This record gives sequence, C-alpha cells and structure tokens, in this order.
Amino acid sequence: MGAFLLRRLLWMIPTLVGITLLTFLAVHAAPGDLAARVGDAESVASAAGSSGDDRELFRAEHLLDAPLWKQYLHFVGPFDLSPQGASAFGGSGAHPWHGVLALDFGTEFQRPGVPVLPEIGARLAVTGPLALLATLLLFLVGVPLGVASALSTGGLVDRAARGLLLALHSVPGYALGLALILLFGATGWGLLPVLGAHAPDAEELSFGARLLDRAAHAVLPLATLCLPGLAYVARQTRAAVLEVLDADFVRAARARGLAEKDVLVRHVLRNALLPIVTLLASILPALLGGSVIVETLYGLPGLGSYAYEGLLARDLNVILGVTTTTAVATLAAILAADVASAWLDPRVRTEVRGG
Amino acid sequence: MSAAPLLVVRGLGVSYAPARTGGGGARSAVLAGVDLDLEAGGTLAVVGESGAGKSTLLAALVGLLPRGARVDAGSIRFRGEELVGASETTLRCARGRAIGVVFQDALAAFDPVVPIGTQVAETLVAHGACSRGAARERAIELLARCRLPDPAAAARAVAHELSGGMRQRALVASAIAHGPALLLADEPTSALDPTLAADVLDLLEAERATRGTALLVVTHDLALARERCERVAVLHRGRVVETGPARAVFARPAHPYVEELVAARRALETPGAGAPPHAASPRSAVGGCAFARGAGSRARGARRPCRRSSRSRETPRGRSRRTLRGRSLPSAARACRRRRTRPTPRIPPRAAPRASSRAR
Repeated sequence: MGAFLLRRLLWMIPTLVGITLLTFLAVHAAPGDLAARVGDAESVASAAGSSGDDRELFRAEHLLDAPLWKQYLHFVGPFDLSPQGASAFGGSGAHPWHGVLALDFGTEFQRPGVPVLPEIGARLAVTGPLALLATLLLFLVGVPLGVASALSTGGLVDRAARGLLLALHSVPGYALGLALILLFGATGWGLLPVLGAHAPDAEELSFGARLLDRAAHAVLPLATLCLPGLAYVARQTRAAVLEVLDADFVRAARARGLAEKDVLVRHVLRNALLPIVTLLASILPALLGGSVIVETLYGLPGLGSYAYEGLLARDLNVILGVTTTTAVATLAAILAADVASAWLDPRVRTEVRGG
Repeated sequence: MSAAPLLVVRGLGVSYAPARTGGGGARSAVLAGVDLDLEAGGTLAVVGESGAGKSTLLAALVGLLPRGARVDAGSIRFRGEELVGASETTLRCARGRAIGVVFQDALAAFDPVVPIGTQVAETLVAHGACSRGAARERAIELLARCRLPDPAAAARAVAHELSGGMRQRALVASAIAHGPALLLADEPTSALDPTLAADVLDLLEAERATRGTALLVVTHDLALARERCERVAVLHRGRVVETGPARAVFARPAHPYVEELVAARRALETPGAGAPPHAASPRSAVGGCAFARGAGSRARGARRPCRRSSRSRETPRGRSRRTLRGRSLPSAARACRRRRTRPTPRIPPRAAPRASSRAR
C-alpha cells in the first residue's frame, strides 16, 4: 500500500506540470498584452497618463519580457527569478523564494501588492464548505433515490424519480439558478436571500441568528449546485444496482436462503456502491468548476468568482494560482477515491499489492 | 418417507416475457409439460443441448427464475409440499436448508468483495442454525469437509483469490451447509479440467453416500450423466423427450433426438467419422414434438409436428422408461421404428468426462 501511494503521488507531479504548463501557455497564447490593464485602477486617481512607466516596472517585476521558459520556472519556483529575486540568478536577493514549490503564487495583477495564495485561502473558505456540503447532499439524496428507483424498476417510484431527474438534468445550471432566484428571491415569494454569503449586518447578530442567516444564504447556491448533479448520481446508482441485481452471486445468495433484506444490504448495495465511490472523485472537481456560475449568480466571494475575476482581468497569477489549487484538489480527490476503493474492493486491493 | 419420492415435477411449463417491453409479442415458452421424479438419495441427470431449458428448469425448482420468466403450468412437489405458487417464506426456508444449489461458475456465484467463509456462514445464520460466531467456525469445518487445503485461510479469502477447483469446492461447501435433502447442481464441472471435475463429483457423491442427499445434475456432459447418475432425463427444446436409467437410455435410445446425441458423441470420439448428421436448432419455442419439426424432420420427410404423447415401457432392468414420440404422425413414428431396427449405437465404456462438451 505504501509503495502504491508513493507511486501515485509521484505520478501527480507530471500531471500537475502538464496542467499548469497548458494553462500558462494558453494565457500567453491569447492575443493582447498581459500588462495592458495595469494602472487602470490607479489611473483613476492619477489620471495624468503615467501608465507607461508603471507598465515597464510591472513587466520587469513579473518577468513579462523574459522568455517563456524563464517565466514558467519563475512560476514553478522555488527560486525567484525576478530582479528582486535570488542572488544566485542575478537578482538582488530581496525575495529569494517564489513559485508553487515555495508556496507563493506571487501577487495579483489587478490589485498590486495583494498576494494570491492567502486570497485563494480566503475564497476556499467560502467555496470549500459549499462544495463539500453539496457532495454530501448529492450522495445522501441521490444514492437512496437511485436505489429506490432500481428496486421498483418500471414502478411508480422509478418512473416519477426518473422523470423528475431527467427534467432537472436537462436544465443548465445558470438557468436553474436564475429560476430559483426569481422564484424564491424578492421578485417571487421572497423566502430566501439571494445575494452574498451572509447578511450585511451579520456581525451584529447573535451566534444562533448568524448560523441561521448563513444557512439561509446557502440554500439556493447549494440547490443550484446539487440539483443537476443529483440526476447524474441517482442514475449512476440505479444503473449500478440494476447491474448487481442481475449478477450470479445475488441469485446464489438467494439460493442459499438469505432473506431479501440481507441480500440487498450485504451483497447488492455493497457491490453497487463501489463505483459510486469513484464517482465522488469526478463530482468534486465538477462542483468546484460549477461554482463559477453559482458564485457569480449569488455574489459569493468564492474560488469560482475569483477565477472569473482573474480571467476578465487577464491576471496571470490569479489564473495560474486557482488552476493549480483546483488541480491539486482534483488529484487529491482521485487519489482518495482510489485508496477508498482499494480499501473496499478486494479485487482492486490485489492489483494494488501486485504492483 | 421411505418409498415416497423426494421431488415430483408434473407438467411444468415456464415461459419468458418478450425480450423488450412495449414491443408486444407473445411470451415464449421455454419448458412445457416437464415431468421428473427423484427419490430420496437418488441421482438424476438432466441432459440436453444449450438452450434446451436445463438451467431454467433448475431455477424453477428453487423459485429463482430470472425477471420476466414465470411458471405457467404444472406442479413441483418437494417432500409432498407444493412449491409452485408457494409463498416466498416457504421457498426461502427450503432454499439453502433443504435444497442446496451448486452453480456452474463459482467465480460469479460468490460475492467478489465478501470473504468466502462469511458467505458460507451466512447460509447457516440465515436459517437460524447458529450464531454468527459459531457459524464462522462451522464454515471452516465445512470447507475442510469439502477438502479445501488450509480451510481457515480459504475462509478469509475472497473468490478471486482461490483457484477454480477450490472455488467450486467452496461452493459445494455452501450448498451442503445444512445437509440438504436435495442438491441441485448446474453444470458443476464444466468450468473445471477433468481431474478437478472428478474431484468435485466425488465430493457430491460422498455427500450422497454419507447423508443420503439426492442429487439432480444439470449437464450437457453425456459421459458424466452416464457414469455418475442412476437416471437421466433428456431435455430437448423444453420437453423431456426420454427418461429412464442412464445406461439403458444411452445404450438403446428410443427417441430419435437421443439417438442423434449419442451418435454425435460417438462421431466425436472416432477420428475421421465426420460430422453428426444434423443438429436441431434449439432457439425456437417449444410446441409439439420439437424434434419432429426441426432439422430431424427434414431428414425423415415429416411435414407436420407430431402430437406429444408419453409412453412407458418396461426395460430389461424392469424400470419404468418413458419416451416421448410421435404417435399421430405416421411418418415420424415409422421413422422412429425404422431407425430402431438399426444396430444399437454403443458408448465406449470409458471416456474423458468432458469429451462431449467439446461438441460446443
């Protein structure tokens, strides 16, 4: 198992290099000047067209005139290759460390001096709980729904569940989100808040009220995140259960005289849920990605909206930082799912042991 | 209990729903008018080609027909109790306790993620024979009884970690856990090589000898049926075309289909003898004497399906022997008689157990 983990961890390195390199090249390949918007924010204050010098400084600071390989190495780290960087690479030695390996994604382009990594941390504090809760809900609702659907194949429960889920699955997330806002927000029944992670005066509320306020603000984003995925999870579960129900060993278990309940719990569900664990690995990144729409819709300061802002501003450091974070989270989720299925499924365990 | 037969099947008919729902179409009959008798401690082989309905018959006996299949007619009496239409509870109590099933593919018949020992123990717990802890001990004993080397380790292993022969023995162990009165075996050896197959058959035979368990073996292996079973029932397109003492049936087949089977086997064992004259297609539904309608009828010039009728006759051994053959169809009946005057085909006395399976 140790060797398996080590091998998997080592394989993550080329994967990460691939992902970051592709993102890096894509941003550079896009037409236009990365420094074009520099000074926009300040230029409102110092309107006297000072941006020329600023841009030169900015380019030098972020190595934008350096060859691409040098820029990429600067991003990967752990040495700072800029003029203020490590003395070994011709810098002044003021900031010797930089890059992913030094856990430093640099500073934002859009807001000079604001480091990217702490900002990502703050954004994750909003997105992370949302994504985890959504995953939990997906499985707590989707799996039982799928099982119930499979057990009553062709019956009323099955047809009702499948119809509803198909409808939900066919609605794109942004449309669903807008519909929910219109229905539940001030324009509709006015039941739920539709903007932000908490009320503007949240600081003044008591602990209990603040919790309630948070929960109320999370309902619609969670629903928008979950509902389309619910269909996916439920259908996958249904298919898995149906497949196992037809397996020889289920017939054999019945032939041994096991009660139907025992057959279902011990043999059918146990086997049907194995592929669902792996599904988890693909759900989490999808939720992180889906959060771009949800967070933009509901005005949540999360990772998704950060990526969106970064893209609009062509903020290389933010884009690379968010991509790297998401990639690491995805790879970690896949690894966790693999370990979990090796733990649950002896067949996989043998493969793991066998190398 | 002495003379009373253990299992009596009369006029059993099973049909399957049309392949796709909504497409209409009639149910296709897979078994029709099947009669079988098995006394306590007896052995009966049900032989027939693929698609003849052997496995469906076995599934019907324990009430485990696949979805879409149902018993249309007939009765299955096990120890005097009617199983057709019996409640799920009655069936469940019989399954595993009074009737053990050995499936064909042991790898598929064991849950891939649950240890073998747990699955054997489950059977004991399900029928309230003992507590969970005691069942675990008992499961290891059963595995040892089925001659698994290192039974404790085998109990901890999952199916794919055991060899094919060990898996099949473990499957026997799970089937005999309660010392059932009847063991059903569905092609118990066709996945094994001849040596292992003989071992598993010896195991079943030992169980019969020590505990008086009756054995019903579904197989397409004629040698197995002849060597290991007292009686044989030949299934063709969902009908029992001939039944009687195994040796007598194979030595002097009365029904043309059985004659074909025996001839085909002989042809396989004689190099250069050429292909068997014909093989009837098994895929269509039952109805009438299927053999008379099939390729066999072309060979004999029959035009109409013969009407089914059973006839008993006394064999030299004095046992009842019944043959299904055409009575109202003169040409087919004549053909049957004509062929019976030919020299009787002989089965070589010793043959590799899997010889006939090569025909597939």
